[in-house]
Amino acid sequence: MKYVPNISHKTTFIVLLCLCSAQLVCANELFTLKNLERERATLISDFLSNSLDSQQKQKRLQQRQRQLADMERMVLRDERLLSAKSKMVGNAFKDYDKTFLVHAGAEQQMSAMNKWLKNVNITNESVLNARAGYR
Amino acid sequence: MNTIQQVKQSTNMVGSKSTISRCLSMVCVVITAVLTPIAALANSGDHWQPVASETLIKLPANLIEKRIQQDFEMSPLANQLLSLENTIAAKGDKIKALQSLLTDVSAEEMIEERVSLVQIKSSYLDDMQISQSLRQDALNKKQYLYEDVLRKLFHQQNSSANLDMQKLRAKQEEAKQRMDRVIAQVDATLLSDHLDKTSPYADEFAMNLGKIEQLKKAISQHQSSLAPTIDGVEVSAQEYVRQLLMQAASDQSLLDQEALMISYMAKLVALDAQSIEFRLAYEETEDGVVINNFTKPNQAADLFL
Repeated sequence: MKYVPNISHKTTFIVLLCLCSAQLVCANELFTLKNLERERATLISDFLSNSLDSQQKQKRLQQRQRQLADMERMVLRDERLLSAKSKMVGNAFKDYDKTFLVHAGAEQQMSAMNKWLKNVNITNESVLNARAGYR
Repeated sequence: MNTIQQVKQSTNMVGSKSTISRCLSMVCVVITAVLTPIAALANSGDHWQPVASETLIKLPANLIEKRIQQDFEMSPLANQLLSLENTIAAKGDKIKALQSLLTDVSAEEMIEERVSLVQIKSSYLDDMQISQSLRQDALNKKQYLYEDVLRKLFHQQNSSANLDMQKLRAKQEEAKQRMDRVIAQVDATLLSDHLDKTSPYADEFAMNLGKIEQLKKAISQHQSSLAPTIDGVEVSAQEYVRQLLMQAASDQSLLDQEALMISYMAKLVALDAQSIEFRLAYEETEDGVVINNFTKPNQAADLFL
């Protein structure tokens, strides 16, 4: 009888190990896409940042765009994503304009930042027409 | 003294003939057994258990057949068939030798050789029947295997997971084409934006791309990766496996025909054996050998004179 807790502990450990390894496999398959998402978030974050002056911001955004372009190409060429069975992958390819900002922007002669602004419906007119006030 | 020797000789002759007669009766029994269908023989060939594994399904269709054949040739069943084939060939040679010996001899002479010829023929047919059963067994297993492969191929192609993956692949392909249209433009824009060099990834990728294309071309032209063809026409994997099943069905039909031939040959051997047995029995009565075993009163009369 005293062995029963040991057995149940071992079983729990094995089940957890299996679950973790399954998660790990899935995570590895989504590696490029997650990197792209992270890189895009950083680009937008830098774009919206107030802590950088315009020159610094310009330089950093150029570097970010180049990295993002590489990441986008990696995702588009990554066949492991197809076997990931994740909604994240489906959504990424479903909305090309939102996922691949650099390449989608290039189609309309836009930078990645302008493409993102267009995606979220922020135009020069809408900014100029905006009024300060309480939300 | 002479009479006693004669009696002994005649007794020996009777003994040897009765032995031959017994042998022939046994041959008849064995042949009767051969003529009746024996399912139990097939059980002796349970040494090949092919399975439609995932590895097999993933192979190109034209290699599936070769892989199955290779697996069969390495099995104990194939070895058994090979050794049987050697035995059959050796017995066939013996039959030919005996037949050539008996060509110019009358039907009443060389009875023992005739009996051994019938015995070897009977044994030859036994081996032939075992070989036929084993081949039948192997063919049945092949048929089941092809059906299993076909079912799995169909399932693989039509499973919901696979359909989802196909849709996703199409989307990725579409996105890739969209990217390829602007890829040069993006590179040019990034370089013109005061970035003095391209990214290491882009450089490395461009370098590898040419080699990859060459490798892909070599793979597509490789004989082993060519799509399966039937009469020079490219067909799908399913179509190819269906063709293999049809081939197996025609092999089955030929095997049935072979079984019929074996049964007819067995019938002929049985008739030969009966004929020799009948001839021996007939000679016994005509030559009076049996009658000579009994002492006649006119032979014994001299003893009392």
